[in-house]
Amino acid sequence: MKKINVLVSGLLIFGATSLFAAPTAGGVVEVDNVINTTSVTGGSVVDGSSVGARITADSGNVEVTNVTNTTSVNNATVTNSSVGLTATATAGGSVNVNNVTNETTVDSSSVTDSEIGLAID
Amino acid sequence: MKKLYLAILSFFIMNTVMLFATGSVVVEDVVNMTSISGSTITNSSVGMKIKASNGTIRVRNNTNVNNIRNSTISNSAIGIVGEGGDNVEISNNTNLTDISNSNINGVNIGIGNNISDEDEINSIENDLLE
Repeated sequence: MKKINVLVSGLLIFGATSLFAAPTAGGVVEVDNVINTTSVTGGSVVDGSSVGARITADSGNVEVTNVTNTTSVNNATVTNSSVGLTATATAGGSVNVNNVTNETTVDSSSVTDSEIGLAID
Repeated sequence: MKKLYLAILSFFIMNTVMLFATGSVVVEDVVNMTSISGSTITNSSVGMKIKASNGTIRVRNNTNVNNIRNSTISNSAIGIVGEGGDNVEISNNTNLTDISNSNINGVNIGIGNNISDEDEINSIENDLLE
């Protein structure tokens, strides 16, 4: 009886731990105390891309703290992209953005199907 | 043995609750500035876009400034926009949008939330919109 009890207890602990580990399989992404400056100029073509800072955690947590992000797009064509700061947590993760300064400038450009500025998903 | 079962049960319940607590988006104390000039913007968002397929969205104590000059913007959103989420709180934000010499068509400007019928907005309050 004792062996059965130990076996059942072991299965319960293993099952619960696996369940908890699933959404954090991607781990935690922490971006702290960062200054990032990005510039796109001179007739550039940006498609399906990220300009600036992009932080992604798949099935995990994203923490963005004390970040200054500056993005400049001049004389460019941007489609299906993000310009600025983007933080994404997929599959049930969480996103925390705190104490962030994000500055985005778009000049003489064409932007379609995109996010300009701060995009949190 | 009873105590052991109780401990295991508590452990299991705690982890299950933590599993369902994920999926939240919190944006606080952010200064976001977006300047657009001489450009054409289509089907896009300008400013702050916060999206959650489910879970909680909290947008608090942020400042969002948008300056748009000599531009054409269509079918887009300008300002602070929340999308989705089961519980949405947008409070104590400052959103300043300044547009001049521009052509704006089919655009939502300001603070808002695009939600489906089953979603719930807890509060949109104390926001300064200019």
